[in-house]
Amino acid sequence: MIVVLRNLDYEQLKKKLDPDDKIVVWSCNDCTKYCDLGGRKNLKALAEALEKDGFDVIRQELVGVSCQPPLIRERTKHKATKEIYNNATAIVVLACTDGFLKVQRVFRKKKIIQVGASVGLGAYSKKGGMRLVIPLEETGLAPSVEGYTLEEAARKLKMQSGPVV
Amino acid sequence: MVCAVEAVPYEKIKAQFKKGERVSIVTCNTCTRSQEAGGAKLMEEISQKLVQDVGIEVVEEIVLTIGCNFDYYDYAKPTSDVDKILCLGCWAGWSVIKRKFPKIPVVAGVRTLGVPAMNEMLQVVTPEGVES
Repeated sequence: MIVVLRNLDYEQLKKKLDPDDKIVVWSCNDCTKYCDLGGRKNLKALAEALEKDGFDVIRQELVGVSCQPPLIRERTKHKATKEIYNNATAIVVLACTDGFLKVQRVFRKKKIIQVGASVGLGAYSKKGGMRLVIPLEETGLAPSVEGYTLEEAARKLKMQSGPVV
Repeated sequence: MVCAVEAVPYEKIKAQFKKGERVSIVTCNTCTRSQEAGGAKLMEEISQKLVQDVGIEVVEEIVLTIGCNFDYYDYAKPTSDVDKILCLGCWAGWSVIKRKFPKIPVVAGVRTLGVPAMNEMLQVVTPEGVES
């Protein structure tokens, strides 16, 4: 699985949004969920926090995997979502780097906000959560069979882990 | 989900086994299968070839829905009574097996190329003990 950490906290995210933005909060339901950044629960929490702060969230979108362009394009064509995406001005993406870039490619004219970034490959267990075992070269971290907890990896990489709110 | 992988050439895998060795083979059925570096069918083919060409004893063959999840591997109740384990999963899957059985040599039958980011491939660090 791809390990996804955060580049933004909630306050930084809000600064990237305009008060009149029509916002879709988008989440991948695979790797990003296992990293406790995305998934149904975190998507809902973030959307509700933004609404509470006065932002206009017009849709919460949970996608099986965000790294598959056909699943993204489907949203622009399907009768249930086409209009919503026509009206949206900003999409907040809870996904890995690949998932973010693919959303950005499909919705070229919209403001796409990257929250997560890929930092390597991880191994997951219910008991231990996600652990980074095969880091990207660019992180400067060594591979580890024991793995780095996401908190530990985030601290070393000066990033953040876990849900936005 | 998808990390980029490629199969280690069979001759290189074969060279790491000896006649009579008791072997467990584990494959991931997600990323490696979709890139034809693993999966049930390929695992059976490699297993049969290793038996014929080298004379190993295949003790068990395990197909995991995803190889980088400890819970799936535990649920399969893998045996520790083997000389070697052949992993047809990415290096994250290989790490799962290494952590569970630190004293058993784990042969990596798959090479991990990196993490895709649109048209780029983000390179990963190669762990010690795998075919790079």
